[in-house]
Parts: sequence; structure tokens; C-alpha cells
Amino acid sequence: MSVAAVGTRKSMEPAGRRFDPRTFSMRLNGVLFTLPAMLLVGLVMVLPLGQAAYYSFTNWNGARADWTGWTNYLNMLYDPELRRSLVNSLCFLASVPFGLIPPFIVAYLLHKDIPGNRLFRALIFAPTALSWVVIGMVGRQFFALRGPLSGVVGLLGLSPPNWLADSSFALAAVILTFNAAIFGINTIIFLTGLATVDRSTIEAAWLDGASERQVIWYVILPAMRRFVEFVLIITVITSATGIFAMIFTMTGGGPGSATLTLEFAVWRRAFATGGFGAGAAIGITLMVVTLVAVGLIRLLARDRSQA
Amino acid sequence: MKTWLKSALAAAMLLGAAGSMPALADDITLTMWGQGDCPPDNCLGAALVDAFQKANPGIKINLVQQPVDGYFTNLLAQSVISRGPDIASMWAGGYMDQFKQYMVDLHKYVPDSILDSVNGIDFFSEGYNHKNAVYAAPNTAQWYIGYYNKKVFKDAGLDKVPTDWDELSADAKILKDKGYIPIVQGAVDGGASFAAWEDWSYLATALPPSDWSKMLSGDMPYNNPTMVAQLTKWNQLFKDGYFNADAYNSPTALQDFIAGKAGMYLGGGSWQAGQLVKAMGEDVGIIVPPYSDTPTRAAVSFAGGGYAVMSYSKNVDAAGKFAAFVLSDEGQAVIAKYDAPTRAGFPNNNPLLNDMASLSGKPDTVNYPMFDNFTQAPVTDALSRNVPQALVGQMSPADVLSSMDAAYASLPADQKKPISFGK
Repeated sequence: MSVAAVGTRKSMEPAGRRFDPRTFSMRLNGVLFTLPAMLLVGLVMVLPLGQAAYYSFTNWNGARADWTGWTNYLNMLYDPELRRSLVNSLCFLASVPFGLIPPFIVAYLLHKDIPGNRLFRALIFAPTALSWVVIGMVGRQFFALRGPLSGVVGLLGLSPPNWLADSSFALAAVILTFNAAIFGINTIIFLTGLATVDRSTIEAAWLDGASERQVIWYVILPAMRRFVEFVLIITVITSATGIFAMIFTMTGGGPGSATLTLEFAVWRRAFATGGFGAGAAIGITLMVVTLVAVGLIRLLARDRSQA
Repeated sequence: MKTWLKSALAAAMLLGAAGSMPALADDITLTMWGQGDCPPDNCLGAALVDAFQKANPGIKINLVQQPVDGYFTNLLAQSVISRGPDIASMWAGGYMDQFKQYMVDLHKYVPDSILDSVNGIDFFSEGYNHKNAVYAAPNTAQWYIGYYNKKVFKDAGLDKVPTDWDELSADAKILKDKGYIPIVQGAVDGGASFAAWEDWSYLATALPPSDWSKMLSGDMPYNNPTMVAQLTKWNQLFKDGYFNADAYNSPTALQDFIAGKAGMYLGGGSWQAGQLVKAMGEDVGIIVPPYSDTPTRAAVSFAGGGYAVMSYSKNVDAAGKFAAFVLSDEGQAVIAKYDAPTRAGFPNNNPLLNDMASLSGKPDTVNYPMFDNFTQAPVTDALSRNVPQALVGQMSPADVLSSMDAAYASLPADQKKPISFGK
């Protein structure tokens, strides 16, 4: 690469108020190249988000919107159904470790070239091709009173409950289905991460007498930090904003509000009761909660890497 | 003006006119949304589409069956962004009110002489008067009704159907002792739980129609002693084991009834009559859900579903032709093969539908409309989510009814207006 093409440090620095045609041209090119992407993002993300934020301060019913200020947000504080949906969403969030630890263990075992490795990989990864609707239907059959789980419980001489119709069990059943559904994709991501870990570092640790637990904890996991962070973030985002279809097909948010999440509440408030403004307010709240969760993860990950 | 200029202008005008004309070209494809399960061999919507396509070779209709659970919310979601179907299955009353701005007045497509002869057309019209805008072409007359298996009853030694709570409980015990599911219930419409609209309407017949208006208008709480008692008795049947244990969400309730595993299915409607007669022949009969302290005299019926032409359709005129076809002689003849047509002179050969018509026509029958056709959207939501929980004991009757009162209380002032049943 020639010096002229890169430009010297001096030539790249701002030269007072003097107009530098080459710098201007480079900046213009940069703007022009990114313009289509910025326009696209603006049209499909920023504009609708701005609209949603505006409507969250109105009583929009799909046709007419009058400004109501913070009413929709204040109403959320006093709505027992929304409080329940917030608690349910936090339960999903709390279950995220179950969506991470088993996939990591399985990925680690598969990475060790156990017999049948390829078959297991295929079996684990295949379900990730299923849509959330299909996953919901499978979950519904699995937890049906005449389904396989109840059959096993019956074989043990116990009387199974109607899992999805019982508010004591329905949320656990849905959370379990969610974690089972993300198992495959998380396992594959961890497998990819494991493949990037330098084997010589692991072998050096073995030679130094480290136990398997120590190798995982002090060598492999730090080396895979980016992958763990990535899996954690996509799992958190999916649990908060990506499983509407699964809940819809499994329980419809019921019984009552037992499996209602903030994401589902957006739909129910907007479309089942015609309160689009209130639905928009829940949607904005959900976005803030999700961004805060992701931000905390990023913050913690950064602190750990700096430490 | 030069000849070539005249020709060019004429061509431009023709092209312009062609561009602005309603599209009725040869290859028009419409989308129509139906509701719930539609078995290929017993699907009225599909039969109407087939007959219409034969009569109108240039127009194709893609019939898409949507789950009943959430149908109107999905339709509203799509209508708000003008992405809904060209033709939509529509229910009258509160369901339809929210779509008025998205539906086309059918006067443009259906002659007044035919509109005057259609039963139930007023329920689909502005101000319950078909001289005003008509929003949908009703396809059938409908009843909420229960069914019983005659063969199972005979096997259990029962020679007549129960007519009140005590008889229902006694007969259910006999059926249970004989090894049958006395009453089967479940998510027969593809939803996550059963829709309690039919049961609710019959449970509410413990009150006179005038009290229905009061409840719907907020002048009388849903959480009143009569309704609490009704839901409590309903739940007692479940507690006694007279319903299937998975009544809340069984996906096979109707199949179980058809297979002769159950004596009664009380949460049904006339739209299932064709399927049941076909599957069970003479073994199936109708039963008014006997949710009454005295022998019931109630019948719940209403204008059935209709077909609305959506204003955002790119082929409104072609869709309008379909609505007109439904009400035409040809359309009514097709309907008569499956269900009860809305115009006189097209006899139906389904004995169950004739029994329902006879029931409604009896001098001592108290005819009620379908309750949920008049409830406001938040109340309908509370009803459909919480009333099933009262049956299976997940919520107390008082809590269920209070949730409906709370839903009513949450309505904006402009929705808290007196509810009329129309004519």
C-alpha cells in the first residue's frame, strides 16, 4: 500500500479551517456508502420506534389518538395483570442460566470426540430448524394430560395434573419448553467457540497438573468469553421478545395470566382489548427492560475482561 | 389537430381509463379468511368458494382458515395496516363494530329485493337496519347448542335428556358409573383452551333477557348472586368428575364425543351439526345445556357468521361479487347442503338444524341472542380467558365475575353506553 493511498498522519489531521478536498472526498464517500443502510435502518427501525413512543402517550385505538401524557405508563403500575406479566418475564430471565449451562456441558462433551459425535451433533441441531409455533405445538402435546409426561408420571403411580391448565405448573412448563428449544442453537455456538480455543494452552494446563474443572474454569471459559457473552445476550433477548408464538400456541398466555409475559401483554392489550396506545407503552417498557438487561451483561463482561 | 396526435391522446386516455377502472381482469386472486376447523369434506366456506369460482371463472379465492381463538384480534391487526384479507368471516354485534371503518357497504353489490329477504341481515347493518349500510352478507342462522349421544344414553338406560341442574347431575352420575365421560369439553377450535362463549350464554339464561341488557350496559354487576351460583354449580360438575379431566384444553374433545366415549357435549353450536350427523348418523341429538334450576326453556340463537368485503382490498368489486353470490339463489342452495340458509325457500336436510329451528319456534321458548356478540372487547377478553377457569376450579366464580366487572370499568366513557339487542 502506498503512502499516498493511506495518507500521512499530518494529512489526516484537521487542518484548521483550510478546506482539504481529499479529506472532504473521503468523508463524503463514507457518508454516501453508509447512507442506504442508514436510510433502511431509519425507515424500518427508528421511524416505527418513534411512532410507537409517540403512541404510547396517547389513547390510540387503531383509528384515533388523543394525547394522554403518562397515563398509559402510570396505569401499568396499578394493573395486576401487567405486574404478573413483569414477574413472569423476570422468571424467564432467571431461567437463562439453564439455557446456557447444559448446552455448554454438552458442547464440551461433543468437543471431546465421544463416540457418535456426528450423530449427536445432528440430533441436537436439527430441532433448531423448527419454528416457535411448531415448538409450541410439540410442547403442548408433551404436557397434555394424555401426553408423554403425564404418561410417565402415571407409570410412577402418581396422578398427573393438567400441566398447562394449572396455574401452578403452566409457567414452569412453558419455561422448560423455551430452554429445550434454545438448547440446540446454544450448543452449536458453544461448539464453535470451543473450536477456537488454542489446544496448546489446554495441553499446557494439563501438563501443569490442572484438573478438568480447573481447565474449564481458568482456561476454556476465559478464552470463550465472547461466545458466552453472545449466547447470554441472544438468550436474554429471545426470552424477552421472541417467544410470543410459542406461548400463543401452548397456553395463549393462560390459564388467566399465568403464562403472560410482557411481550404477550403487548399483543393482548393492543389487539384483544383494542388499547393500542397502552400496548405501545408496554412495548416501550419491554424494550427498556431488555436494553437494561443487555447493558448490564455488557458492563459485567467488560469489567471482568478488564480485571 | 394532427391525426397522430389525436390517436396518441385517445390511446393515452384509454390507458388511463384502464388504469383507474376497478380490476376485474381474468386473473384476479382474492384471499378469504374463515374461522376454525373446516374439514375438507364438510366445509361450507370451501363449497361456497368452489361454486363461486365455477360461476366466475376469472376470479380465484384462496380460503385461509384461521384459529377461532384470536381471530378478530388478528384481523384487526392486519386491518390496521391494510394487509388483511379481501373477504373476512365476520360475526355480528361487538365483534363487527370495531371493523366498521374497514368494511364496504354491500348495497352496491346486492339488490335491495334480496337484502329485504335475508334473515338476520339487520344484525350486520348500521343501527340494526339494513336500509342503512350493510357490512356483511350473513351466511347461516346459528344456535349455541349442546349435543348428546343417543346410543350412549340408551346404553346407560337414559331415555330422555336432562333439563335442569339436578337431572344433569343425576344423569351424569349414571353415565360416569357406566364408564363414559358424562360431559366432554375442550379446545375444539384450535385455541389453547376452550372458548366458554356457548356455556356462558346458557349459564346466563338464569337471568331474563332484560337483565342481560343491564349487565352488558354496566347497570348490573356481572358479580351478582345468580351468576355466582350458576358458575358454582357448573364447577361442581367438574369437581364431581362429570367432565373430562382435561376439559380446559383437551384437543380431542369432539373426537371423543364422536367416538362414543362421552354422553354429552354441551359447548357446541349449529355449525358442528353437519360434521356430527355425518360422523354419527342418527346417534346424535340436540340438548339445550340444562344450566337451570327449573326445566330450561331457553334457546340461544343469532345471525350466524357473515362475509365482509374489506375496504382495503385491491379487488373490492370482485370481493363484492362473492358477497352477492352468497345471498343469491345459487349461494343459498349451496348453504342449504351444509347449514341453515338465511333466505326462505332453500330447505335443509340436516335433522339437527331442523330440531334447532323447531326449538326456537316453540311458543314457550325464551330466545336469547349470543351474549358475547354484545360484550365490549375487554369484557369479551376477560370472559374468554377466565370463565373456563371457573369450570376447572382455577379461579373462584366471584373472582371470574369480578374480572369481567373490572374489564367493564376499564372501558373509556364512549364505550359505556346502553347495549341494544336490536330487533
